[in-house]
Amino acid sequence: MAANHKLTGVLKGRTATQVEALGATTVVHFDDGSTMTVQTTVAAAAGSTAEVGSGPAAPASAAPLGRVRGVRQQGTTLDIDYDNGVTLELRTAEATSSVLVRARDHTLEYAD
Amino acid sequence: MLRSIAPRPRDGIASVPDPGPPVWRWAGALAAAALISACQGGQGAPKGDPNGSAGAAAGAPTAGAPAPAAGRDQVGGGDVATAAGASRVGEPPAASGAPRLPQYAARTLDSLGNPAPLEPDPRLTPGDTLPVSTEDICVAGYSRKVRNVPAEVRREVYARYGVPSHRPGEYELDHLISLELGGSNSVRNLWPESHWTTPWNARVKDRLENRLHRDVCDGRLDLHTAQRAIATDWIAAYGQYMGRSAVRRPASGAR
Repeated sequence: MAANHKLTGVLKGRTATQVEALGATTVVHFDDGSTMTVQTTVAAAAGSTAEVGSGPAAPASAAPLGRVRGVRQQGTTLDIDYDNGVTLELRTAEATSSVLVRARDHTLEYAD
Repeated sequence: MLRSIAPRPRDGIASVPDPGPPVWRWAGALAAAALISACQGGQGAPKGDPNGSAGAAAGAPTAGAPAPAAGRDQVGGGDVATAAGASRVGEPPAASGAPRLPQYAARTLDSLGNPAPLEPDPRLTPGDTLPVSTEDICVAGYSRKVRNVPAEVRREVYARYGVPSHRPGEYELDHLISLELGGSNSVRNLWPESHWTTPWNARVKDRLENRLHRDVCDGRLDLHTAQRAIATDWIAAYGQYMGRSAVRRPASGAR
């Protein structure tokens, strides 16, 4: 899967502190106050895998957290790779037009 | 938002039967209309031409001569100037002295024989936006924060429009609602726009996009109004927001 260099450049070094599922939207909160909003295919529900937004086995509450090493994206799969070797896999609603990153002050940092 | 996809007459130009897919507008439709008008004693370039007299200057036909398209047609990287008596690439030569309606007058083909639309198919490209505000788009450098269109999305858009291959530089994968107006990278907002069709092409649309962006950021125009205008009919929006006094010849790339 190809790296999303632009998004990697934005998120690298930030630590994901919370993954929040809000219906068909998943919000990843980072330690610097920034947020990444992802339009996902379905709402996250109870389960135990690290995949969010793809079906009933994808709980946001159990989503892995960590310091971002890089981002890969292909089609409707968005993978956030952490320094600890774990990956947060997100299923986007479509291949594009699904991801926004805003800084703490709501400034837009990245749009897909 | 869907809009009528049937060809409709522009000012001073009669509708021309389109041998291609009915939902597409062809650069040559304007040329053919001017041709018919000229054969009937009509006048020069079609109205609404952002290039002023480009159409008339580039080869208005004379009565009795083989019927070239008004304006200059670009096929691939070559300039197929359509002076009276010249044949367009791929067309048989006209019989001497006999007026002949061009077989391909209602469409513009690129160098590989693909039709080059002037406007997107509203069923394929109705327009799509990101959830961004005027404040977002009016920050310097906003467009650079938007992801580049992925290769697989680019291929899909060209395939949807029946452009399986093309020479570099012939087309631009245009955002119908431009990035600087909050347009998205969704396939619903992308279409292959020619650099070579005249009078309407990618460079002309760029001027409209810049103008709308400026008007929005200066507070003269609502963002959603601008998005709707450019998505519904960018050529009509050009006339509305650029004004006839702002027309000029396109950039040198479109001959």
